[in-house]
Amino acid sequence: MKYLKYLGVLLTSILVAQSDTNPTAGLKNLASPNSPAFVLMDIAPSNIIVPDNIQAFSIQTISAFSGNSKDGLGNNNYAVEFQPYWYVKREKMNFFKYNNLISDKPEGENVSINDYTRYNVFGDAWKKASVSFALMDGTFNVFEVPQSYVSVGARTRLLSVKTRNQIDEIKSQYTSYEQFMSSPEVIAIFANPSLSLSEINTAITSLEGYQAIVQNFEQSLRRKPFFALDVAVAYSHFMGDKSQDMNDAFGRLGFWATGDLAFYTPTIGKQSHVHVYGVFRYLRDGLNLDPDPGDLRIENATDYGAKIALELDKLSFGYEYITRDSENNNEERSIGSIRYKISEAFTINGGFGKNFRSEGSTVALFGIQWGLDFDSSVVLDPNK
Amino acid sequence: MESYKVGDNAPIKLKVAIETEAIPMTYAFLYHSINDQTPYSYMTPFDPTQKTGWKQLDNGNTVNGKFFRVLTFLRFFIDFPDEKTFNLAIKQVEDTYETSINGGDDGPYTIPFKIEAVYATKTCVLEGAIKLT
Repeated sequence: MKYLKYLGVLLTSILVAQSDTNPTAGLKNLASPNSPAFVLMDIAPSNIIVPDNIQAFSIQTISAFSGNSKDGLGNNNYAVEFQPYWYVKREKMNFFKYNNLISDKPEGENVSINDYTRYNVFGDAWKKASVSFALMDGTFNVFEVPQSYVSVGARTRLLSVKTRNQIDEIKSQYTSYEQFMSSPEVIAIFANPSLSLSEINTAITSLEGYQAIVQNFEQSLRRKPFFALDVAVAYSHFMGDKSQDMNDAFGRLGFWATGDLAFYTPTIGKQSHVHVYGVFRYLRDGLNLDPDPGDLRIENATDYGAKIALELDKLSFGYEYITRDSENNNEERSIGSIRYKISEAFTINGGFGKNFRSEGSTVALFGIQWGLDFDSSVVLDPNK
Repeated sequence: MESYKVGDNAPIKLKVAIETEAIPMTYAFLYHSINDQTPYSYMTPFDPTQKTGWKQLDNGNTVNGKFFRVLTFLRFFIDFPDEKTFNLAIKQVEDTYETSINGGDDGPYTIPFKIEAVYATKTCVLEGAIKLT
């Protein structure tokens, strides 16, 4: 019954976000999630998975579903995440290099499509690297009133493997595109000096042949790598509490590694995949209260588990089970999640189940994530 | 309109340089005069990131007094999450795009260009033009 209530709220939020009305009020207090700086504190419903395309700069926010939830999440939790790749010059960049294909031809020589014979499995490491910073407050089952933390995190896709079939498909689509763009009907548009640049762009992108080729090309490129290994690291610092006579101190330090085996299932949807994830995390946790002296102490824990997810074009469902091997006792996390992508820059996330330390009780979080777009229909100002 | 002194020199050559995640296609046209609507000669379209060398105008014939246009059309095959990220990709195009002409009396010359980028179609068009004297 409780899950139904949460699901109802999520669906209502999706409908509000898709309507023409300003969704500020409806989405203001929803939670979001997956930057390492947030996930470290166990307040996000999913593990670290590097998205295909991170915004060059984005803001995330997360709040408790209820202001006084047992997990003690406060109402002032914000993270910024940015991708340095887009802010520096990309040397000798071209389409093939961006897609991790390598030619054996010496630099400066003309290259043909058949010269791209190798695949750079580390090619995504810099391209998909992102850094996040977060400010958050919560009790985290340690304090009586929410305390403040500052977190920093980084993540990337360390390894990416595409099959020979996937690579051949990309090369074949490039050839089709190049041939079409060299056809007489395209040349005739560029040859006309009376057309403005805007008119040229419209004329080309309106051609039926162009639209068909581009659509097929994008579909090929959107296929997930057969295997990807994502890694992340994050550190959270406890800012201290003068009222309890506590100085600032070590908070949490975590390392993640997530392997993703993706099986393309075009019979279900054009971009549908079934993912099988393997998850590993090492956590050095300073948020443990010694009952006797009342001081914070550090514990080490190792998490490992698996997640299975069905990803459709805009909607995805998942279930994860993770075991935590810690110094004092073993715990587990069993959480189902749902994610709905409204647009390229706007996603709603939800999760429910049993989290670590929740002693059998459920957690429920809903989230939003969007790019820093000055035309955004959502505002962060809590007074609005 | 900029001009480039070629006299009776031949061949006059073109080179296009660009560093981008997109697929660029370059088109180059020669007109008898600036008012002509149809070119009398054009190069086979090419991807300047793959065909990087110098290319002859009008198969190496003299081009004195002609009007030369070079255009490059870019299409990004990236699912940009927002327009800001697209604009950063376009900034790299602006910073690295260079069309050079060579073989004239004064050696290599970089042709100025104008640019139009459209986020909705993930495309960009660049155009440079020069009078050959």
